[in-house]
Amino acid sequence: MWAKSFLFLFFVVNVMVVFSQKTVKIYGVVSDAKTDERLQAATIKNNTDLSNSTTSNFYGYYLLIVPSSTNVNIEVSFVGYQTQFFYLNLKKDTLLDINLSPGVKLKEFTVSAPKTRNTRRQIGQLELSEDAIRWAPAFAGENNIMLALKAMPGVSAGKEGSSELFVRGGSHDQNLILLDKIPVYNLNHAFGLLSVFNSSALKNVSLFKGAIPAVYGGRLSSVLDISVKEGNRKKYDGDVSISTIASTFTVEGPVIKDKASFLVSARRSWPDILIRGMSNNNNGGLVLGYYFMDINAKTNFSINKKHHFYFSGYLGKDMFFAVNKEEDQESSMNQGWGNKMISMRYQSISENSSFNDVLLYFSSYNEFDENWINASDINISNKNGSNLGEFGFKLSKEFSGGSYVKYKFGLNGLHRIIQQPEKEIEDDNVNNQTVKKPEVIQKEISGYASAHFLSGNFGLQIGLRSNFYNSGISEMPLFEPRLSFLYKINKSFSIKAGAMRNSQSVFAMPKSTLGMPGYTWLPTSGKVKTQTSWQISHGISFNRKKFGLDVEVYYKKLENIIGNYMYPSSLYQSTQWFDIIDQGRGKAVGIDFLSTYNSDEFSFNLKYSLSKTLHSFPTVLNGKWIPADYDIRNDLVVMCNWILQEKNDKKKWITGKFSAHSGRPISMPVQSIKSFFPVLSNEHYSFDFTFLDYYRKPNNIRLNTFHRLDLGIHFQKKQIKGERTWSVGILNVYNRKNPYSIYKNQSGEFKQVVLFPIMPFVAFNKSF
Amino acid sequence: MKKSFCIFILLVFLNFSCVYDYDGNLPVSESIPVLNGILYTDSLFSFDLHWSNNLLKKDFEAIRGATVRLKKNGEFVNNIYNTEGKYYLNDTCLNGDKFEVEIDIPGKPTIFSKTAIPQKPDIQINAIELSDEERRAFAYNLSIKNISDDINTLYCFLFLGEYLQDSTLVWEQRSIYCDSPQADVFNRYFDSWAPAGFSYEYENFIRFPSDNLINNKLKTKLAFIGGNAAVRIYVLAATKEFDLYFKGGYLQRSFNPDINLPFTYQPIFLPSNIKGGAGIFAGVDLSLFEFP
Repeated sequence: MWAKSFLFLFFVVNVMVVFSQKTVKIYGVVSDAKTDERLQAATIKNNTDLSNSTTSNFYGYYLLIVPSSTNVNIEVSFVGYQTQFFYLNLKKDTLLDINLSPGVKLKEFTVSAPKTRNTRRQIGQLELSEDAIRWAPAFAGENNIMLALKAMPGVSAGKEGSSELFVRGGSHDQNLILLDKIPVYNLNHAFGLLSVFNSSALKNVSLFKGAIPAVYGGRLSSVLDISVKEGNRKKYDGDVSISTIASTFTVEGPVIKDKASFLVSARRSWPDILIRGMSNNNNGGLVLGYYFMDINAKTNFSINKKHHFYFSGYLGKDMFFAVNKEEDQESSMNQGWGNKMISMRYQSISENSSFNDVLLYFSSYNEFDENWINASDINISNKNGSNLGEFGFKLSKEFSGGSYVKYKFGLNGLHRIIQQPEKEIEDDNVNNQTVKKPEVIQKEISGYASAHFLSGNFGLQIGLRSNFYNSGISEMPLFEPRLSFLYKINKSFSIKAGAMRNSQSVFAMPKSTLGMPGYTWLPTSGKVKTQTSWQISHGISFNRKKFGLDVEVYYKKLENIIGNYMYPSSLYQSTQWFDIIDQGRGKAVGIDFLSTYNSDEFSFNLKYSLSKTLHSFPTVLNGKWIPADYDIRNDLVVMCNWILQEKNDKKKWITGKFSAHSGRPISMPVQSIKSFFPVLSNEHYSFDFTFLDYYRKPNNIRLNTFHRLDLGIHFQKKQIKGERTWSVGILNVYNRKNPYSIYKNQSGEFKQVVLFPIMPFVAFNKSF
Repeated sequence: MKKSFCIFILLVFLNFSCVYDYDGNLPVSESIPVLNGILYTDSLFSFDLHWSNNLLKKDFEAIRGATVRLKKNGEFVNNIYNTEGKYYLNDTCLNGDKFEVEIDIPGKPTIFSKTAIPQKPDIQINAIELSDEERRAFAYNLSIKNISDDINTLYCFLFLGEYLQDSTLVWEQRSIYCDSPQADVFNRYFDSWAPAGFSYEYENFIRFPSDNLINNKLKTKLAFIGGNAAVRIYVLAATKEFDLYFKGGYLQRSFNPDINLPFTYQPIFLPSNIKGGAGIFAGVDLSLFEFP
């Protein structure tokens, strides 16, 4: 059925191509005139034929086909930049690189979709502006891209303060997170209170939650596509930020002016440095601490206007440590996790104006906990851990099929090595022991093709992706059709629809080691089946003057999803993960609202989602539907920005965020039961085992309704070089006691943990 | 060290986290039958049946007059007696015995469970010299071999008997010091004041999962701090059903937000082998060593 529909649409698109008139191509890249940074999603419009327009792609590349030997008026626009017009009469294909100068900046500080008012918005796609991340009130003044994304419709609030994303009924491991197109396997610094993305280095953030283009694959629910700045090719600049827990510096500039540039951005938490400085353990004693750090580095080089090379790297790490030095022995305990990524990219524009992209990358994630003791008579070490390494390539080609059609083809491949959780024990007095499970190697080859038709009020994207997994994961190739449709009824009003199928061959299993939360990535292989999903969505958009409204409804069906509702990871050794794997199904239905208002002084953004996410596992109540952990029925976020003063070299503005949502489902016991205490005859015990809690089903009750108000005020002053900004604010202004979790204490009383009571923050930023 | 480590993290989070009385609703449910039957080697076969109670209650009504059908090693046995919710068989449990039980309570589904008593491992515990001038500490060599496949885990408990002024001997449970890398670390803490030659303290007991053992053997040293009027060391060889239920129950009851990080709390669904009810029906082998 899907294959037939796909072929029919492909036929329709090609018929349109055949009947198009004699044309020439205008192509090139759109970039910032001051920095040469390429601009994604700029609009290039032929004003002499309003049905003819295009947008620049992820790398700033655009291709517009216009009638030959005809006068045309080309308009190039991008939010925050001065619009440029070109009056052309071309007889042959022409390379035209466009540099836009920053101009009157619209006050779009929050979620903006589309980025320019004239851009057609694909269903299920949202973009986040730099300001939405940078100036939103944040924990400890350290901005967090994940919290900004949670202000988007369709993204569940999840646990308060956590960085994990739950998109349209999908779990946190069902999101493909890409940093410069490289998969990222860990999002969390500080157990999720902060994200691994340093916003100083970021350029674009796009979220696809439905009708995901065929170029993306490998996860069931969403794609978060983040790009890092390329580095200023014109001059050196940078910035320094200090928050209450971390410091960041970013520096960028030309290596060869207008030819090559670099960017380095590094961030590190600093409280542990203070602790180490204050404690002198050279003479013995215990030193405890925690730190996180990340480094983004990128350099690029243009051979000429048509050939570009990029090299980029990322290193992120979190570490808890405890070192104890005594006269006759030394011991240490560490727990850590982190990501490493490195990539090389080559982009070219062919003679026929097609855009080619080749990417080679390596991405890894590892987590471990270890402890050791060295003394005169004992030497023991104990190490647990797992890791994932992925080598991959991505080839893509984008070319024109006529005035209104673009084609994209690509081939992706990966070689993933997963070392399942293993345990290594060494003891001088006992034989060494390693509980090592064999590495699992996954190989995937994915091919895709898509056609993008855009004419006047009508837009259509059809695509097909097929994934070939190596044996043991899936014997047959999995086909994933993708469809996105948009029709503009009039200047303000448009309708849209989309559908997609996705598959996923890895999953993240929660673990609990040394009492700390975390997760480890594992393969779907052997008896664990590949996860799949379908999603259909429909929506409308309304944009008039300063006001925008976007509404989408969706239905998602998930098969072979992985969970372990009945047995928490702490019940097992991490090496026995396969014992607690359970596969089931899921469904999600919802409606997402996004309303925006943007004026020069005041802007606001309102998100509301009404949704329902259910899971079913054979081992839980014989497969009855239960609410998913992150099933939040009503979810409202209002963000606003009000400029109080903007004159001369000073600017003062307020940012605010109000969140309210239904309580998250949690599991609570339903009965108290007698235990088999005493365990051993009639001994006297230090613990009370006379009664236990009986749970009937997971997620049987909900936490109280959540609501919270965060406010921040920012003081910016232009200086001889750059700007300096002080940000101060308060999280949870009216000190709402939102419960984070409920537990039963040892006296049998139920208590609730509130993680974020009223809390001030302060941050400083200086650009140069 | 783990305790200090957790306290450090807790202090960090206490800067912005708080604990209050729960002000939401508690779920309600009807009572369910609960079977508790731990079958010890060389002990009388017995189990008890009680009704569960409201979440905040700790007293439980016995289930009297249930109809019990018991199979021992595949054959029905009839001489089951009961009194005040305790059901017993005039027979002794032996290593390798297999039991299946079916219980009918009017108005409730039939309860079913089965278990086997594991084989006895070969255990040796000997007192050894410990030269510790600062602490009054005692140590033992523990050696266990011939651990059969039906043993999922070995638990080690230590009780200390001390005489009161009126010459009454009182037994108290003690933490055990052990540095074996083969022990489960979930209740382990680093203790900078541990007896000489030891670093880790295990709260209440030590759990040695069989998949941590090398060639199904365990050899390690144990120690405790305190008087040595009398010491009892128990080694409990547990089946998988006992191990999961016991560790699950211990995790439920031992969560302490003063030590554990409040946000790490996880609800613990007890992995029970009772169909039609709750509780546990499991065989264990218990060995007791007394010193001096």
